[in-house]
Amino acid sequence: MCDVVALTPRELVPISSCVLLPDRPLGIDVYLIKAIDSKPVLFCSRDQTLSEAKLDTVAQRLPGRLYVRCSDADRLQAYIREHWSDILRDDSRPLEDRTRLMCNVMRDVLADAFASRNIQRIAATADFLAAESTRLLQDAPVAIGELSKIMQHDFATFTHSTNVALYSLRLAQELGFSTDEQQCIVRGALLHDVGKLEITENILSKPDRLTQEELRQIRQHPTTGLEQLVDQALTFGELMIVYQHHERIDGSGYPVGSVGEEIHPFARLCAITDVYEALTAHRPYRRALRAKAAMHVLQRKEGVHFDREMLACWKGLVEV
Amino acid sequence: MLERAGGGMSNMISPPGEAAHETGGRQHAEPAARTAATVDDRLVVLPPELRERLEGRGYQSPVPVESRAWARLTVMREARLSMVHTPPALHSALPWPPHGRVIVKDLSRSGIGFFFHMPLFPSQQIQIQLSHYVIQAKVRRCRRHTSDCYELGAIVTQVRSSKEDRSADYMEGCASSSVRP
Repeated sequence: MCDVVALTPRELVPISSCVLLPDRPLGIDVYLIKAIDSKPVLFCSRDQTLSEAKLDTVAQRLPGRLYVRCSDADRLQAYIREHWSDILRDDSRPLEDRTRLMCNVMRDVLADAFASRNIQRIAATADFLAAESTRLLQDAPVAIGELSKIMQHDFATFTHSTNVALYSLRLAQELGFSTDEQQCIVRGALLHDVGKLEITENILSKPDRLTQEELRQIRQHPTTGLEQLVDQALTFGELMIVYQHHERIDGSGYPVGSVGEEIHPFARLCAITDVYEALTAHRPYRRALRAKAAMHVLQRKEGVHFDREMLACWKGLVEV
Repeated sequence: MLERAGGGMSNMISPPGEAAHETGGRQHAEPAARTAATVDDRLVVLPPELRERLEGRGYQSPVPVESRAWARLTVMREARLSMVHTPPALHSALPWPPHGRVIVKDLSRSGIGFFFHMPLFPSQQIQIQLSHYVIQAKVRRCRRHTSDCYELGAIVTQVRSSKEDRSADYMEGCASSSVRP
């Protein structure tokens, strides 16, 4: 275990020990760096398997962090995807670890799917992620504050979509939607901004005021998303999350300007979590707001932009 | 025949005759449950301010902030709409009648704008029967004016026409020519 290797930290990426499973070959060399100035040592070679006891040592007592080579990052992702369900279902692992892993893997997997621009693959990925995340958080709902700490808050569409999906799941649970409905909501939320894949990054991350044409392109994304997904195996509610998440109760939203109950309940729910996530995330054109400030912004539009009952429920969740 | 707008809503023609119904019926490809819906012959009522804004318009050139490439001819005439295809995932949305009445707002080489009393979704395929030609189109956008008035835009996918009508020549030109009308 203690062979010092001639690798620099730049050639390595850190991994969480919770992604490793006992008695299954990783196919990747895993390294340990005990302290900031120490050299990496080979912790487990690619053809070895880790025992349960060794993994426990890692999780509980081992100083330092585990790493893999940058060139092995893709292989590690494949390993995580292959064994993800097993890891998430392993009740002996702390829920927080599993939730963190779930967030990270959701982001990574969704990022890969979005990068492929293959709408069938994106929809299938959302389906898989929705099933796993709903199952994990079914019996042990995590507080929004905890979720927020675990989440990344960058501007990438896949990060935003993952966060909105998890927030939406919690709100759906609290509002008493059935498990099937919760899965639909997570699926729809993961896909809600899929139409933005057609918009150039220059526009999405433009720090200055948008021109009318740029604004028109941004406002087109719910329609584009619906058109892209309408032939996939999605339910009406999921499609309405994609199409109506920018509609507002008073009719001031887009693309249609639907009012009140003309807006599907899933979309009304997602409108709240979408705006909350956007406000609490770092954007190129403004700084992230704290939870309290973001809630204040939402509450100013209670019953005007957002469903009163759903917003009250969301407020209760955020303030826990 | 298409008339340039100028006389406002009074220019609207009477509903199309039997032929239009037959054409619409043959083209209709909605599932049985949907076709069983009651035929809704309501005609959309435009809010007065919208009606005033649209009155007296003729050709309209595209402006830079729009994405459109072609000039539009304001029409403001009543026509018959038939639902041709609704993606299965959207079937549960609304009880769309298989046929309905619309007010065609404008036409261009590639698109048609109209008012309907119900919202339609992007990707729904429709057919609009004007006096002497039939336009098949795919809904691209929908905007609500009131609970009974929605403004829709659709991409023209096919135009079938009668040669006696000069407006048909116009539409054929729109569909095939590379020259902007």
